[in-house]
Amino acid sequence: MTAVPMPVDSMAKVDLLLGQAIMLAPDHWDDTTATLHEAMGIALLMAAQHPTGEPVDLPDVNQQNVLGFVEQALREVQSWDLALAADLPDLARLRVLLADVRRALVAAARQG
Amino acid sequence: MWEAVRREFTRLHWDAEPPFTQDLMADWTQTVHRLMAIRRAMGPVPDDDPVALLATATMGAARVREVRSIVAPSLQGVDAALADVARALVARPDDVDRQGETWTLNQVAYELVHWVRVQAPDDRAGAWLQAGETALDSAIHGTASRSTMSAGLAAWQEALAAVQPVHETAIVRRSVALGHLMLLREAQAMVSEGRDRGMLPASYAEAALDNLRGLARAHHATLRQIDGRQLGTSRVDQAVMLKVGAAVRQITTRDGAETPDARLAGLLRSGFGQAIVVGNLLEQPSARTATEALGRLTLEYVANPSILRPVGPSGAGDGGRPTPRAPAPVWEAAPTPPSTQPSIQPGTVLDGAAVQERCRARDFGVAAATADPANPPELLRGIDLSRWPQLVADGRQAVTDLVASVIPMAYAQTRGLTNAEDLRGQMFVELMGAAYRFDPSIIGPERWPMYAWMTVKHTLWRGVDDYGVVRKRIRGPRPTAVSMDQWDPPSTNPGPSDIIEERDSISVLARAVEQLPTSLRGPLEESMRGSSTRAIAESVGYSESTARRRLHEARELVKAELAGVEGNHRGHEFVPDPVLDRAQRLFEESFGPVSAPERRHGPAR
Repeated sequence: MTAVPMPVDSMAKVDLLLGQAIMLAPDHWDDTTATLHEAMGIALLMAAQHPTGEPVDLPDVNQQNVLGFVEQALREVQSWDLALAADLPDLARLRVLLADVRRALVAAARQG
Repeated sequence: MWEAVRREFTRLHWDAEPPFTQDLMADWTQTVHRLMAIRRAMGPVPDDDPVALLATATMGAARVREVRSIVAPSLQGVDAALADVARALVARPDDVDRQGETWTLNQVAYELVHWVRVQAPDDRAGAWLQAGETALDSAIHGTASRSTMSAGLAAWQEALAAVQPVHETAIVRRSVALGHLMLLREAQAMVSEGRDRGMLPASYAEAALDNLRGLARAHHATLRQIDGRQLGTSRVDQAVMLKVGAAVRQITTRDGAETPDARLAGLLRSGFGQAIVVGNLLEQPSARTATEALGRLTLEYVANPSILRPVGPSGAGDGGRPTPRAPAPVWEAAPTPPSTQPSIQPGTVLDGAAVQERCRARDFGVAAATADPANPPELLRGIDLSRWPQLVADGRQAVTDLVASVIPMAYAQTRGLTNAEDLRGQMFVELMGAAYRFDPSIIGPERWPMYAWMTVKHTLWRGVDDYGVVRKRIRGPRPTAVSMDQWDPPSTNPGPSDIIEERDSISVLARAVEQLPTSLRGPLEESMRGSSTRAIAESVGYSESTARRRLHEARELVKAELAGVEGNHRGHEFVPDPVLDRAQRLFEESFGPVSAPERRHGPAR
């Protein structure tokens, strides 16, 4: 067990951000959506395992698109101490998935 | 054996003036308990067993709010007949044709749940009962092997049943919608793959895909109605969300050994993750068409399972597709390890600091397991409630480690004795008790091995009789235990295989104890710590006979669990597993006499 405090507020934020991203994601399911859903599954479980007592605020929630939410979630996850990996077995997987989704969304945006 | 049940069925259908019940769901819940008792009598019950699924579906139906009590013919006659069947099965377990009886049980349960569903006027309760009926229907018309997917879907159904009383809470609705959305995406991927590889007829697959997308759109609409920033949670919500999250993670975790058709079959049998029940919980009008269509597709598959043509993992049309990467394993509760295995090699010498640290973890664990969250003891002040389960797990781990560090003593002291197995079992129990009792502040942490040694010697001194029962303390001379062949063993140290077996036995046994309900685990653990039945009764505030009965029940359950684990591991091959055999033996021979509470006779006339 590590002594690193669990970033429960940040986890709740990631859960909400990915929820927003899924809400805005297109109805057709492709590989990117699949990856996003898997990340959501991890975030959902993490948030349930480590609940926060504080309400979480998402700024500019109406002005962001899927990529914006994913990027914000990725930043949050990347701010977590890597020593948490001992307590969060899916941490690395979540980082990888979010990075993949972001890369795919950026590529899609460039292609127009 | 089933004759009385058959007679009661007939009475249920044809009796002109049957006895009535005011609350059919209450009666039905009782009947399902009976069905489960019969199922348990036939062996361990996996989560995705059809009768277990019927039980969770019934729980969901019973939890639907604002459903009027249903006045209907009473099921009490059927109940009584089923209770007789359960008793008969328990009485002569060796004479039972398990496969045949399971088959009969599924048929009986199917007919009963159908009868109850027809009587239930409420659509939401009916949808739950339909889920149970479909599970049984599937088992009857096409048996399927267990799969990761089916186990995950069973967990999902259980989570939905837990959601039922709090489904109006925004955060819970959000979790269910998101969870089902992920499940639908998984289903979409599987159905697409099934269509592309020729496993499903194109028309069936297209209809399924259309409705999966339609339901996903409805879930999107539900999510848009929920403002994520305004979500608050209660403790109940958190517990429910944890169940939902764990189930979803299990479903979306791909098991490399699981074939696509096994995953697809699991999804189809589950009514695509109980779509109708989810639709009812979320109350999204736009979901209705899609959920009903998915329900129809499920029934179509159940009635004709051959529409899904199995294709092996390397079958035609595979196209060299890479095996999906398996994500990290799901841990149900934060960093709780899946089982209590010693984290050290048996016989590892722990220095004073290590013993001290483990004793502290043990004390935290015991406190967390027994404390009242509303009024935590000093030791737990300032520790978030969500961490308590982890403290309990850490405490158990610490005790397991303490025992593992000294377990070779038991071998050294018993090697060559005629009743070595019995003695070792008893020593293990006594060492567990010692690990709980040991107080480093009085004795000194570095003296744990000495304390354990004294415990082992004491057990040896007391000894066990030919039946593995601890002898009563007597002052008279005790016959000396001698080895059968009168020779000293070449070494007093246990061999490597003995150590490995012993370590695994400890963990199997500890896991079985851990799975007991709190009301039974508490007395058993007290007993393992060396408390007398009277002391246990006093500490928890019930009579001595009740304490004795609970101890007996706990021991029986652990015994059954060990037998069940053994059965699961063996499968159909009947290969003896030394670890499980040993754990079973350890339990049977050392947890104290497994005897039923004494039958009380009235005074002689």
